[in-house]
Amino acid sequence: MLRTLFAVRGQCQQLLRRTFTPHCSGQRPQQLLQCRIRMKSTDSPGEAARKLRLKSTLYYITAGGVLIMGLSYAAVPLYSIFCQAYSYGGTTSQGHDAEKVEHMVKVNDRVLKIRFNADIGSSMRWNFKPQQYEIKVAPGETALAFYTARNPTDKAVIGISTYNVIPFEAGAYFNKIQCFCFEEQQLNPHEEVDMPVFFYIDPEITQDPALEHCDTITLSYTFFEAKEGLKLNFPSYAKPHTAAA
Amino acid sequence: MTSQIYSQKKFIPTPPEKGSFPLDHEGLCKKQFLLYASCLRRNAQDTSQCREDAQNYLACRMDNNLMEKTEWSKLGFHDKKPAPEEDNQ
Repeated sequence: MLRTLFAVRGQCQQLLRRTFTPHCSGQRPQQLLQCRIRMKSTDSPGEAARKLRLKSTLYYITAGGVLIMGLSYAAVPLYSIFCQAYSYGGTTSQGHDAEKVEHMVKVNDRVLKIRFNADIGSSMRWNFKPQQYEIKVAPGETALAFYTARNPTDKAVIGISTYNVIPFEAGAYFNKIQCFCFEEQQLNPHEEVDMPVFFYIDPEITQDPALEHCDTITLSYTFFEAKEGLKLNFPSYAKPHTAAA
Repeated sequence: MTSQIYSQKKFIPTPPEKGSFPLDHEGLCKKQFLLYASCLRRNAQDTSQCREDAQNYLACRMDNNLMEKTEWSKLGFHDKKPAPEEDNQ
């Protein structure tokens, strides 16, 4: 019984020796051990070169993959910087500085009518309307307009608004100095407030051929109810608090 | 969306230069607002005639801490009017 076990063991060992030590058969046990350890690093030169090429190719491919992943993450802020710098795709550069307001000259021969429109979201419970239906403004001159909002409910309601300018091309020349949009505004129960909009029309509108026959610009504000967790689509550079002069 | 046909540009609302007006909850500047509104009605909605009333309204806002104090020239008013204390941040 034991003899057969030993015989099987012997056979297994021989088999192992033959498969793992092809270069070291027929040697004494100590040399065999050393040989077995050495065997892992002795490849023929061609074999080693092939392995080196394989490893470096693998490293290059892995590095390329990591680079592409990194680029795709970095592309998001880089693209928005590029768009703002070159006004590509309709984004406006941050060039509405106060100096423009100081030095702009009123254009006397062109008078534009600005119409005001007020809307509320479907679940918004405020009464929101403009105080004046339309005003006449000359490009290059700052103007003030008012909206009125009233909260007829018994609960304080927080609203947030956004705006739109029609015709679309005129929106690029419509610059707001200060207004009430993009920030949450709270109205207490049964409270009524006047909300001013202080804006100007860029005098360069007279040089735009697409707006040559444009006499009327409509400014439309829409109020939505600001709920917890409600996220409207604001431009990423909208500032949450009053900006410094 | 019709604006996306022929890859036309989308309207992107821009934030106002000086941010948002705080709400006038107590109606501190209601009088100036009413003066401005009645001036507009008298002059057939022509804002060029009512610049002084607009300036009064904005001055009221500045005095009551409802607006940052800035020089009038930065707001486009080049007439002679005593500027409020400059408190530019």
